[in-house]
Amino acid sequence: MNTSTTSRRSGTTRRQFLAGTGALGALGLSLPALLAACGGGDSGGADSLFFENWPLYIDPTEGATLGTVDRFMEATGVKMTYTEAYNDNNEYFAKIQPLLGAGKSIEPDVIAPTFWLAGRLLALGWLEKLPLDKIPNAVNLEPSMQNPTWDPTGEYSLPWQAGMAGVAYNIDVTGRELKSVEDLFDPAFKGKIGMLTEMRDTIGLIMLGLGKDPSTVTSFDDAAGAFDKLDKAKSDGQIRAFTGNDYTDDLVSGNFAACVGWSGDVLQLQKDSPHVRFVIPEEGGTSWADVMVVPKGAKNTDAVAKWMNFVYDPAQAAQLSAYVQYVSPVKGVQEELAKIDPDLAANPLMFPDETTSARLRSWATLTEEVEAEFDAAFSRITGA
Amino acid sequence: MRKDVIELDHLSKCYGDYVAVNDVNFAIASGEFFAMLGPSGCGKTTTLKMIAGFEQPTSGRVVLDGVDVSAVPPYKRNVNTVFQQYVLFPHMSVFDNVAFGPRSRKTKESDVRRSVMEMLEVVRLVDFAPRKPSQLSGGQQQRVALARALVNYPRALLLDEPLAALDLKLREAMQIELKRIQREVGISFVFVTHDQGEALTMSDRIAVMSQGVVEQIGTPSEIYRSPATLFVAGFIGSANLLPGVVTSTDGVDLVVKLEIGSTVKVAKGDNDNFVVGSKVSVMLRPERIRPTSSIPANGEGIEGILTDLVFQGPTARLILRLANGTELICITDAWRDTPVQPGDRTSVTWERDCGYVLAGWPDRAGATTTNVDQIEAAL
Amino acid sequence: MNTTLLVPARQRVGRNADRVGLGALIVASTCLVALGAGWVGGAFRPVVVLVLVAVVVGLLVLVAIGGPQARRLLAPYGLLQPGILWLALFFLAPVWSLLRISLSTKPSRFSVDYTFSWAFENYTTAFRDFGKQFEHAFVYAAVATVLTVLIGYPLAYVIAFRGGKYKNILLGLVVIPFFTSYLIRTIAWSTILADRGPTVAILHNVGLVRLFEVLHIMNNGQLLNTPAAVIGGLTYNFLPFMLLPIYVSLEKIDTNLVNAANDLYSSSVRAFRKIVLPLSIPGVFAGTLLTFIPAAGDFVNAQFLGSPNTTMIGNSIQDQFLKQNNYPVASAMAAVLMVSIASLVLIYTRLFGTGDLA
Repeated sequence: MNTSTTSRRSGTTRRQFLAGTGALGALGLSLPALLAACGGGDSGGADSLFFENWPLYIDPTEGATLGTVDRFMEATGVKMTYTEAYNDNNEYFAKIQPLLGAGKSIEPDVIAPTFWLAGRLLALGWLEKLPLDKIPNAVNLEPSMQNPTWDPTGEYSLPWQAGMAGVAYNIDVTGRELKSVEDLFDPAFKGKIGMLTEMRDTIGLIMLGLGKDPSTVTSFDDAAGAFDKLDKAKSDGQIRAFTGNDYTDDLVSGNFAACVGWSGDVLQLQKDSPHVRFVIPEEGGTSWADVMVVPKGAKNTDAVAKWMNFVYDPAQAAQLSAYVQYVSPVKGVQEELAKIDPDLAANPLMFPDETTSARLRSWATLTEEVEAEFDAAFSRITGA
Repeated sequence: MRKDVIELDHLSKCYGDYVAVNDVNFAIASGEFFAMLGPSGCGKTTTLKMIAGFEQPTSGRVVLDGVDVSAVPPYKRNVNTVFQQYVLFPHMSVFDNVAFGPRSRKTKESDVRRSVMEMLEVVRLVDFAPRKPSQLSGGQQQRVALARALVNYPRALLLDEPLAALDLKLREAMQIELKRIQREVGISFVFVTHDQGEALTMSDRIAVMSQGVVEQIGTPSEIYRSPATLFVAGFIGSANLLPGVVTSTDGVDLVVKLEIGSTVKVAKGDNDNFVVGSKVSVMLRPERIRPTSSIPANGEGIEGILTDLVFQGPTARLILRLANGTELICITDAWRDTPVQPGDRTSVTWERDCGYVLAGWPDRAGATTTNVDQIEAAL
Repeated sequence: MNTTLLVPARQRVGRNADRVGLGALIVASTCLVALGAGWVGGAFRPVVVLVLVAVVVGLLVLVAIGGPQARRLLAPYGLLQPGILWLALFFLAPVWSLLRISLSTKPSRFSVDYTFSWAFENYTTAFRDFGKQFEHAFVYAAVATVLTVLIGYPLAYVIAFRGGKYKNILLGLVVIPFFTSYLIRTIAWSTILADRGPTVAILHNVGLVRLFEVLHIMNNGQLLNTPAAVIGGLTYNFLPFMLLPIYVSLEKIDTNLVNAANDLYSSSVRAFRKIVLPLSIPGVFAGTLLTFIPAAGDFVNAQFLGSPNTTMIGNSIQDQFLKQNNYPVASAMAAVLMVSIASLVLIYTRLFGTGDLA
C-alpha cells in the first residue's frame, strides 16, 4: 500500500500497483482503513494532513516534475499523507460507518466521495463544515457546481474533480471503435464486459441506452428496464466482473473488451496504453463529481484549508488536470492549461463544449427509500 | 538325502562399491532349521532378503525348488518372511492378518477360515482372533507373525531376527516354541540371528557369516568343536586364542612355540597341513582347561597368575594373567574346590586333544569375550 | 488462636470444593460470554467484570485456605478453566453475537445498531436470494476437495515413498509458494490465465481450445470467468492442506508393511489397496476437512478468477457485510453456512470416521 507522504507511482509500476491497491482495497484490507478502524483520529500535529482518495486521481512526482502533493508540501510545510485506498463508494462507506456512526472519528482529514455519498454523509451529520473563511480560492469554484441540491449552502464540500462515465474499451480486443451503450451488450464481447459497482454510472448508462433519463428518476420503476437488462446480461455470461476503480487493470490487459469507465482514468491510461479508448456513447453519458469533504471529528482543519486553497489555485489545478484529465471544478484552469498543453485545453472530455454537455446527464437525488430500493436491486444482480 | 528347497548359487550383492554379500553358496534342505549367524553388517539379512525377493542379487542365482527365481517378485515366490518387528497390519484383526496371505491367493473364504483357525491353534492364539495387534503382547504379536506366514504353507519360512525384540525370558520360551512349531509344520526355517546361543540351541545347521562371506557351514557341534577360522572360533562360544609358530610336527601332534614363551603339543586335526614355521593359534575352550598349582608332567599347561574368580552357580569362572599380560578364561565345575586363590601363581592344564590349532594369529591374544551383551555392545 | 474455628470451616469448604469449582467455572464463562457478546452495556459492564474478578480471586483464596483436599478436588476445574474460558470468550460469545444479529433488524438504513426482534425473515432472504451462491460454494468446494485428493495423494505418495533423500526438498517445493500471500497467488493466477495471457495463447497455438471448451474448462475462449477457474483456484490454494496430512499419514507407514504384503502374495496394487490406502485414510480425512471447510467459505478465488455468475456464498457474505452494511442478513448467511458445514462434517465423520485409527 502506498502510505508514504509522497505519491510514488511511476508509469512502469502503475499496473501492478493498481492491481494491488484495487485488490486489497476491494477486500477492505487497506492500511489506512485498519488504522482508522483502530479509532485513531489524530494523525499528527497541526501541520499534517491525510487525504484518502481514489486511484488515478493525482499527478505523481515524476523525475524533476513535482506532483501536486509534493508541491503543496514544499509550498506550505504541511506533512501530507496521500493514499489511494478509495476504490468504491459503498465499500468505503461500509468501512467508515461503524466509526462515524458511533461518534468516533476516522483517520483521514479529507476524503473524496462521489456527490451522492457526500450528500448521505451530510444528511447523517457525519461531516464538518469546511473552513471556507481560510480558503479564499474557493471563489474559483465553477458557478455551475456551486450549491448543489444535496449541499445547498455549499458549506460542506468542494469538488475535487468531475467527470463522466461512458464506454471504455480496448481496441486490440474489440477490433473496432465503439460508440454506443448497446456495444456493451454485443454478444461478440461475451464474458469480456466490465460493469462498475458504482450503481449510478452502470445503471445510468444502461438507462440512457434505453432512452431513459437518470436525471429525472423518481421511482424504481423508471429504471426497472435497465436493471432487467443488466440482470439478463449477467445471467447470459456477458459480464465478466463488477469492479470498483480497479477496472483499469482488466481494461489495459485486455480481460475487458469494454466496460463502463471514467473519462480521466482512461485518458491517463492512454499515455502508456494507446489501445484503450473512452467514448461518451451516442445515447449519452452520466456526469458526476467527487467532492472533498471533512469527516466529523477531523483535527487538522488548518491544513485542510491550506490544501483546498492550494488546489483551487487555477495554476496548481491546471497542473493536476494536465495529469488526471478529468473535468476540473476550478475556474480559469482551461486558460492555465492552454499555456502547458493546448491540445488538452481543447479536449471536450475535460472541458465539455455545448454539444458534449448536452449529452451528459447527472443523477437526480434519490430519496432514501428509493435509493435503498435501487441499492438492493443492484446488489442482488452483482451477487457478490 | 533330503531334497534341497533353496539353493544359493554364487550369490553376490553390491551397493555401489560396498560388497554386502560376496559369492555365497549353500543349499537348505527340506524341513531343515537353518541359521545364518553373524554380527550385524555381515550380510545375513541381505541374503535373506534376496531369498525373499526384496533385494535383487548383483550376480548369482536364487534357486527355489529347482527353479531360478532371481527375477521373480516376492509375491510370486513361495516363501514367507517373519520380520524383525513383526510388521503386523495394524488396521486388521489378528484373524485378518493371518488370513491376508490366503486371501491374496484368492482362496475360498470358507477354506481361509478353516486354515486360519488351524494355524491360530498351532500358535495358541485362537481366542485372540478378533483383537487388533496393538492389543497383544510382544510374544503374542510374534506368534501372529508366525501364523500369518505359516498359514500359507510356504516352501521355506524366512525369519529375520524374530526374537530380537523380546526380552530374555520370553526369548528363551519362544526358542522352544519356534522349534515345536517347526517340527509340527515340517517346513524349512531359515533363521537370521546375531545371537550365537540362539543359533546353537535351535539350528540343525548354521552358516556363520562375516563381512559378506560365509566362514563356515556346519552343525552346531561341528562349528563349536572345529571352527574353520579364527572368526568362527571367537564368535561361537568363547575361546582362548594363543598365537604361536609350529616348531615341529610328527604326524600325530604339532609342537607349537607360543608367543608367551612356552611350548605346547597339540593333537593334529584331520585336515591340518601345517608345516614347521606356520603361524598358528592354539584355541583352548575355557571349559576344557583346568586350574592347577603345578603342571603335571604328562599334560600340557601354561603358567600365570589368578586375577579373578567368579562364582556363577553351577560353574566358576577364573581369569588368569599370563606373563605378557594375555588373559585366559577358565571355567570349572563350581562343586570342585579350586586349589588357588586370586593373587596366587596358578597354571592351567589340559589334555592334549583339548587343544585345537587354527591358521593365523588373532587380532588380540587370549580370551574372547563370552558375554552376549558385550558382543552386542561391541557391534 | 482461631485455627480451631477455621478447621471445621476448612473441612466443609474442602468437601464441597468440586461444587464450588463447577459453579465458579459456569459463572466465569457466563460473565465472559456476556462481555464478549455485548449482553450488558453501560454501568453493568464494570459490575460483570467485577463479578468475574471476584470469582477468580475467590477461587484462588479457596485454593489457598482450602487445604490439600480442596486443592485436589479443584484441580480438574483449574485445568479446565483456561480452555473453557477461551472457548467462552472466543467461540461462544462470537457465535452468540452472530446468531443474535442474524435475528435482528436495523432501525434505520444506515444505523450501526441492531434491534433484536426474532427477524427470521433474514434467513428467508439468505435462502431466497443466495441459494445459488450456497450451491456454488458447496459444489465448488466439494469438487475442489476431490481434486486436491486426486492430485495431493499421488504427490504425497511419491514424496513419502519415492522421495528418498530429496523428500524435504520436494516437500519444500510444495510448501514454498505458499509463503506468498494467498491473495497475491490468486491474482497471479488471474494474470497467468488472462484472456490475452500466455496460457490462453499457448492453448490456441496447440489447438486445445476446442477440447477445453467441450470439457467446460474454457468458456467462450476464456480460461478465467468459468466455474473451472474458480475450482482450479480453490484446488491450487488448498492443495497443501490436503497434501501435508496425507504425507504425514503415509510417512508414518512402515515400508516393511508393504514388503510384508508383497511377501504374502499381494501384488503392489493389492498391497496399496489393502495396506497403504487404509492406513493413510486418516490423513485423507483430515485433509478433506482442512480443505473443504475453508474452501466452502472462500471468496477470494471466486472474486479474482470467477465471473458474476460463479459467486460463492463467501462473496455474498463479504458483500453484505462490507458493502451493503446489511449485518443481519450477512449474519444469517454466515450462520446458515456454519450450520451446513457443521452438519456435513458430522455426517462425513459418521460415515467415514476413522476413530479407531486416530
